[in-house]
Amino acid sequence: MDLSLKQLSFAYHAKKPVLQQVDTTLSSGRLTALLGINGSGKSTLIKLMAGILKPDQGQIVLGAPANCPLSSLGPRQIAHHCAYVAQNTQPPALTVFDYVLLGRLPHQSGWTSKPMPADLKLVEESLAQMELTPLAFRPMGELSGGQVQMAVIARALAQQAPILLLDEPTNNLDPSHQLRLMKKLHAISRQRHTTVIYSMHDVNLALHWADQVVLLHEGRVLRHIATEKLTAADLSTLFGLSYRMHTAQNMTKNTAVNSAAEVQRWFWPDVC
Amino acid sequence: MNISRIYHQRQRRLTAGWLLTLLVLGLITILALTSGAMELDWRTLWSGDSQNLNASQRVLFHIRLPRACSAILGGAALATAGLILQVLLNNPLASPSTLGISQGASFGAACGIWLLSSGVTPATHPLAVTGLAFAGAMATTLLILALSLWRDCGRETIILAGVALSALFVAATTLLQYLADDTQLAAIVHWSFGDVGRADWRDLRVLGTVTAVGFGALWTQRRRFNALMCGHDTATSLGLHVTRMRLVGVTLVAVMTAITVTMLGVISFIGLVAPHLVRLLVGDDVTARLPLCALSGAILLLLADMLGRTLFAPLTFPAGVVTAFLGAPLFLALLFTRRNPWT
Repeated sequence: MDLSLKQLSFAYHAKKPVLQQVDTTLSSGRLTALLGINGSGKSTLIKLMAGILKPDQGQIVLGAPANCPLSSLGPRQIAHHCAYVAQNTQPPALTVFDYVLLGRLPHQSGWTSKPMPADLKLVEESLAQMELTPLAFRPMGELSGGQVQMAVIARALAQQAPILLLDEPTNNLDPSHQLRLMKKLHAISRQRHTTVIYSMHDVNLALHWADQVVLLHEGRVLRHIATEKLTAADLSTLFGLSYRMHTAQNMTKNTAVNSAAEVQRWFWPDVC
Repeated sequence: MNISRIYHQRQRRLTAGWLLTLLVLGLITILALTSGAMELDWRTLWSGDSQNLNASQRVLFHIRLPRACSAILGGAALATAGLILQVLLNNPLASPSTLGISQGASFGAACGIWLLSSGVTPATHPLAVTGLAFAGAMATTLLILALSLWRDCGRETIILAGVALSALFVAATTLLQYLADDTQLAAIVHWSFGDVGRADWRDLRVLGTVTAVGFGALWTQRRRFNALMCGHDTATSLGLHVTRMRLVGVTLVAVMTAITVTMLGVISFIGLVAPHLVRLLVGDDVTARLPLCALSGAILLLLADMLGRTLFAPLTFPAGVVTAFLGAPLFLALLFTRRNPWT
């Protein structure tokens, strides 16, 4: 499902706009990385797309098959379309299974929101995808920070939404889990045709998996381009550092679906 | 690993836990009905007609049974209210007494007694006193809710606001006690004791209806309460109208608390201790906690009343005094024996 942002502006305080005239379209079935310095508006933009915040001006329009502005939908209908992973989550002391089951809440009807066998099956699948099956009945409080993060993402996957919004999803994960998570998100975007949008501070990890990149600077879109077109100059402008690009021939994406980029690129800032 | 099978097994274990707690409540109720100053004659209990009750029947049906029902319903209502306030305000220290709701009701009742009763016949307008106590509890709750919504202030701020409101109401009640004459003073002080022996069958019908309807309504939202504990942003992204849910939930809980405090007086610590005791057993899951919390609140208040009646017999103490005496050390023990702090 495409997501169009039309002249989007937002401010927490009247005189300090966080986002100004953001106008772009995020394509269906693609991974989009949001890059920018702290305070550039990445998290705010993700919250607007998740329907948690309402824009002051402009609107967000869901593409086919919904074809409607996000503002015309209630929270439950939005939850059918967008799943959200917050930057820092402090989940309650539920078991991992009960926590992931919360992802099925928007789909459960009736007074008691009783989970159906299909819901339990989806939770089981999400736990397996995030390699959490052995921890299913452990309390969340007993998990490591990384395992909690995996459970939070499993909850978002159980929501089965066509748009997945992740605010710094690799927080608390070790390098091995970071790569495995990104690989899974990549596979999900291809298999389920899910629109995956994530913000991240690790530029190289973000770019390695992204199909397109949105550079946010002081609440405005500096550039929205295909990842392979990104230059060191773009990053230098964005972060105020002098970046250089390095390439390597022997590193390829470890997946058959996206083997186009055989030359791996790295961006490193010059150390002062 | 068959996750669905384990899930269903766990649900069955949980139901067994609820039934076991219900059984414990039943046994304690029987104990409460049989203990007291007068020995019941069980042989004559079922004899005679409804017009001419014998002594045992009168003690059981007019004193001990309403008293036990008051304790069960009041304890369940206060414990449920405490749990839901903790979930809705995302604050483990929230309860009717820490947020000043009980003190608000007490002040309302004191106003009623002072303003409306003459010096000779205290509380000549019992309905007005009850109404003002209810208004005091509701006004405090709405004020707390407004503060929690206003500029989305933090959870510590809410508790501090509750402490401030409590102090304000206690000071105002003390002022009224100072201004009141001897008879009014006695009435105000007597009202402030939480006593389960105060309600009659008519009061119990109201208390029972409000508790049952309130509990039923909250039970339907139990899974959404779990989502609410994930915080505002995640709860909204899971399809919840967070502000609407808080508003409706707190109003419902306020009605339950207000009716209980109005009928029984100020009973502290049940709403704070019961949710934490249950939390130690089953964690944060509201689905598991809600019935256990109501049952353990009922058990605690029933035990407190029984202790107050029997520990220093023939001297009896109101249940509110016993809960305050036992609740405070129990809560401190819970606080300081816990591995992870409640922050």
